[in-house]
Amino acid sequence: MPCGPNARLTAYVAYQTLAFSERDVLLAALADSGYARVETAPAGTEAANPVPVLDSNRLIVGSAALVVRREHLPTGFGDLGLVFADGAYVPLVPSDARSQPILQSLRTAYGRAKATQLADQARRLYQASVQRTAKEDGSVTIRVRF
Amino acid sequence: MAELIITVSPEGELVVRSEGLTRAQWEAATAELRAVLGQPTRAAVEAEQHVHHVHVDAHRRIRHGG
Repeated sequence: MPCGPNARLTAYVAYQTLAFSERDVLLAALADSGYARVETAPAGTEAANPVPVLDSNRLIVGSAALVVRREHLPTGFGDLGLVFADGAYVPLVPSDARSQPILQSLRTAYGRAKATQLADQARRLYQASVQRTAKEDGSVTIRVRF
Repeated sequence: MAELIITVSPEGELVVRSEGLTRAQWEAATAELRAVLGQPTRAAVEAEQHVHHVHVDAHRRIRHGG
């Protein structure tokens, strides 16, 4: 007799790069990265990206939906803006090498926040137990058992 | 026991793995991921274990000893 939906699988899906598409996950990632204070667009105005983004000389270089102010970032970096466009938040940062470690750290934090959200959903859905292991390199493994 | 194992690499790669979830549970989980995150970079079913069905004769009488 075929098992169909009852067959038990060893399987995986992998996402090499996640778009910053979920606001709550992105805010959790920013907080995890040490940016707990984020200026946000008023409700309903996000698509207009109304929050000004300033460079290190306090000149307006653009506008965004979410902004981390320069005093929370390395000296001379300016603001970190996240522009909402086509359903995702796109970083607005200086176009030099200083941006790479900050963006990489934010991408990893976003992955961790997304993983935590997925684990919480599975825990509630299946009344499962959750075991989380974090390493110094920023990687995380979450086991949801049910 | 089944496990859903979620890992994030230092580079931010997200991998969601099933160890013993039923096909129905896995399909529900991955459908939700695809709806939010789009198509994955990689995906595979590495093994599929078929469950042996046990049939029970519900009409059998229980004989009590004595």
